[in-house]
Amino acid sequence: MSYLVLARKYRPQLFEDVVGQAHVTRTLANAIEAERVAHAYLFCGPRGVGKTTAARILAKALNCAKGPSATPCNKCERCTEITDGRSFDVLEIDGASNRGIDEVRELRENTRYAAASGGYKVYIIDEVHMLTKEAFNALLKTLEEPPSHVIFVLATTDPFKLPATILSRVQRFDFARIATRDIAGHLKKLMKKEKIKADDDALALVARRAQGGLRDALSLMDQILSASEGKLDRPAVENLLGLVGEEFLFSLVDAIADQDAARTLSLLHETYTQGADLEEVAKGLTAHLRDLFILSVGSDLGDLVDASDTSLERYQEQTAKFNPETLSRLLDYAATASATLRRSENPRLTLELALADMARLSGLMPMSEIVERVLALEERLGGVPEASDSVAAKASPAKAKAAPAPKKAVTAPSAQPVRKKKDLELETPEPVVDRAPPKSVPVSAAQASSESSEAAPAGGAQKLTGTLWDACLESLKTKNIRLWGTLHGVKALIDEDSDSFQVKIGERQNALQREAFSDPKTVTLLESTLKEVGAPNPKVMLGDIQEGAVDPETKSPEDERGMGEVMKDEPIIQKVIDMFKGDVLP
Amino acid sequence: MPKFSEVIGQESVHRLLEGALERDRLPHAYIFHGSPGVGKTTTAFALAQRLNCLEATQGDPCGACSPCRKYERLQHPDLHWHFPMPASVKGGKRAEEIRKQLDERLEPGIFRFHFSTAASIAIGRDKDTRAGSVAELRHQAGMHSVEARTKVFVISEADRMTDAAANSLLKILEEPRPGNLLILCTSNPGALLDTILSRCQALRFRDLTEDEIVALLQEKLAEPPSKKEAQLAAALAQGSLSRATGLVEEEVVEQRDRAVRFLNLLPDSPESHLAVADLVAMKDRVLIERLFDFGDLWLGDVLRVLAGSSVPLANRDAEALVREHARSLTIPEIKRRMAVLKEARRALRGNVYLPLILRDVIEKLHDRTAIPVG
Repeated sequence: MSYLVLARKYRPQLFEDVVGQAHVTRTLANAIEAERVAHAYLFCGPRGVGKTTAARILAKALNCAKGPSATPCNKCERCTEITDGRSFDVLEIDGASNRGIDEVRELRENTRYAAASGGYKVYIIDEVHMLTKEAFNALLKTLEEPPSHVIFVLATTDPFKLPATILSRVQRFDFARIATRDIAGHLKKLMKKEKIKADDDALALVARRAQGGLRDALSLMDQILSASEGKLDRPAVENLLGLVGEEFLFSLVDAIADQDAARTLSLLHETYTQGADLEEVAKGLTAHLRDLFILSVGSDLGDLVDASDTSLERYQEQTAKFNPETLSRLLDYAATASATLRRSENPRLTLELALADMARLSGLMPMSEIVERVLALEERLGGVPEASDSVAAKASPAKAKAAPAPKKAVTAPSAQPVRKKKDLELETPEPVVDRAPPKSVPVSAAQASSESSEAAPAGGAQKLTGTLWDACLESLKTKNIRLWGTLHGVKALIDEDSDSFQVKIGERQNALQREAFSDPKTVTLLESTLKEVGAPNPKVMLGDIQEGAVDPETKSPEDERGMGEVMKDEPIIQKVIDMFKGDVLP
Repeated sequence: MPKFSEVIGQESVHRLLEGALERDRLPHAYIFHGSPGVGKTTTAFALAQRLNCLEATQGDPCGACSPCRKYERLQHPDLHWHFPMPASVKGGKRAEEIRKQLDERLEPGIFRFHFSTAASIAIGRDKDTRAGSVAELRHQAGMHSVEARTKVFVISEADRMTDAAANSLLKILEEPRPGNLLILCTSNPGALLDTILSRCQALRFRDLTEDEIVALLQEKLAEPPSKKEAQLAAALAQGSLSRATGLVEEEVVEQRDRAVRFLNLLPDSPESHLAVADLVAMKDRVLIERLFDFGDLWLGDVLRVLAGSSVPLANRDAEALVREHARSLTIPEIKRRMAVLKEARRALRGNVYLPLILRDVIEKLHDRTAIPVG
């Protein structure tokens, strides 16, 4: 007699033996005890959790010679017949290969005949999701009102493939994935029965690997048992299942933490030549980083991490090497690599690239730190956030240096070395500056510089009305943020000659702003907003007013004094003048 | 001659099978998965033969007893082999055509099966393994074996089974009649249904190392390639002996050099126009794809140099040039270029106008500001 795999050998024969589905088995047992058995059931849930098994036990419970009872005897003729699958009254139909309307018609014909044993006739239709639409429809009437001796049990992994008309006619039971520790516990019991010594750690690994399917776990166990010698421990299991060892993952992530791209590649090369599956490596790395990430979120979340207590400490240690933000980005990288690996032309290369990139990434400053530093910088330069004008005014005293400045500005104030040397070698301009916060510095600086020069001529026009315009812009923020984005910082020229309130925009504004002012929709919106904030009779127009029309004393000193005067302030020019006793021509 | 010892590098799988036989723990269903051409089918056949060999108690089947001889000619009535129909064969004149295709498919030069239509080989009706073929399998599995102890069903490229076919395998995979063994071979186990994976023991066949491939190529082929050629082919073959065998028959070194030249063409230079015209004239999309593969391989080597890694280079014969290129590239730039090649590959498969693809690649490889799509 050939060997029977564990999953078949230890297929539960009683409701109480079914692992982890108490909510289903108890309900079924109670229904049998209370003689309230429905005529049609649907068992659904992921693979290997006990759907078919539960269906068979139900059949036995109903047909057992000792009377319908929740605990079939498993000894009487009827029970053994059902267990062996040769009962005339329990028909197990493979829905995937008998999926047509003809098969269902035949089945319907047969339901009319009483059970050979006098009990119930149980039809177990497995993989019922594969039935064709016509077959489903042919089944409807029978499923609704079958003869009193007939009970249907439909089993499937994909209940959503069943038509609603079927679903509404059956009692549905959802089988849950089995918890890892339940699987591990069950494996332990079985190993005892098989008289095999196994570490809890090893069994837990198998259980995790099974991902909620008990049959998966048993298939894995079979595979391990067919090859292992003596005691089962974790390394043996890792080895036999071709898993990526914990040890390897720790050293790989250590290498990433040390920004040692070379070491990551060597480690990968080594494990690959030893026959590791690259997909497993990527999956293992992702899972490992996920654990680290979880621990970085809260060190008391150890329960969510698949690790024994001894290795949990190591996880904690390794977590401490990273910033949480870096970890989440690393995790993102690893997950992406893991997902693209299968479709990749050259998986090894893809993984190598990802690892080298991750090693580089772990050395870059996390975004939160950059933001922090920018804020600190802002504070040093003059405090309050809205003072971005003043920051810019100081940062760009009419020199065109504003643009390249920010990066230096960000890193300069810190006394400690920003990066380690290694990372400078691999450094590239891309990742640090490509996010919003650091960028916002040059933008606001440039903008503010244009503002400050613009503000000067306009600012003095009318103080009171100037604040009205500001108020208008402020309320625009809630109405049309895009327009506000375009217009904010615009200092309009306000003309109150007439009793109307006129807003004009100077020629120095940029094209986008001018365009906004020439759009009638914008103009109407602005006018109505101005009215709301209390301007009498507002009128918005594109300014054709001369810059000269502005009161001369409000001009900025630079405008007033002309280029020559300004240049004189420059120390170097001062030096030249002193040396040659010259003067600067206006 | 299907023998375990013919299959190189899969000792751990063979140990496991041996252990299962020894302890009488052979399950009813296996999934053999691993890269193409690493010995999955060979092992499956060897296992079938071994199971029914009258002499052998360990290691290879004897090859001399009567069942063994039948297996070796693939004429044993209890060996069933299901595989997707070679795509280009349609209806009608099947047998001859398939025989020819099979001979071609079965790794010329490494070993050769004798194919006979008399053996019970069920073939899908269409290019995929269809439900019809599985129905045949179920029928066969329901009957007693003719003479063997264990009836073996080998399903090649099992991931190509249609949904219906795969589902109708489920019941039989779970509880087949005693004395049946199903072996599903696939290079893409992820494409199999969860419900199938959960019912089988999955054995992974590892990729062959480059050294193993080099050694095998030089040892087994009728015209052994030069060390340099073998090395390149092995690096490109990604652990698959059959892929490497195919590669050495072409002029790999020359192709590689062409690829490197191509990668460094300046856009709009006369050379680039010439190269594009040249490639277009060849009308060989496979060759162009290979060009991109070599490009990837080259960039991978540059990456290794950049990272300061001691992992041996694939293009170790041209190490100086790799190092030179490494001086002007950064890791993000390599990443970008690989993405460019990937995109080009997709365009190539999507049957995009050839000159367009090639010019685009040249253009994008040099435009460092370009961000490739996808």
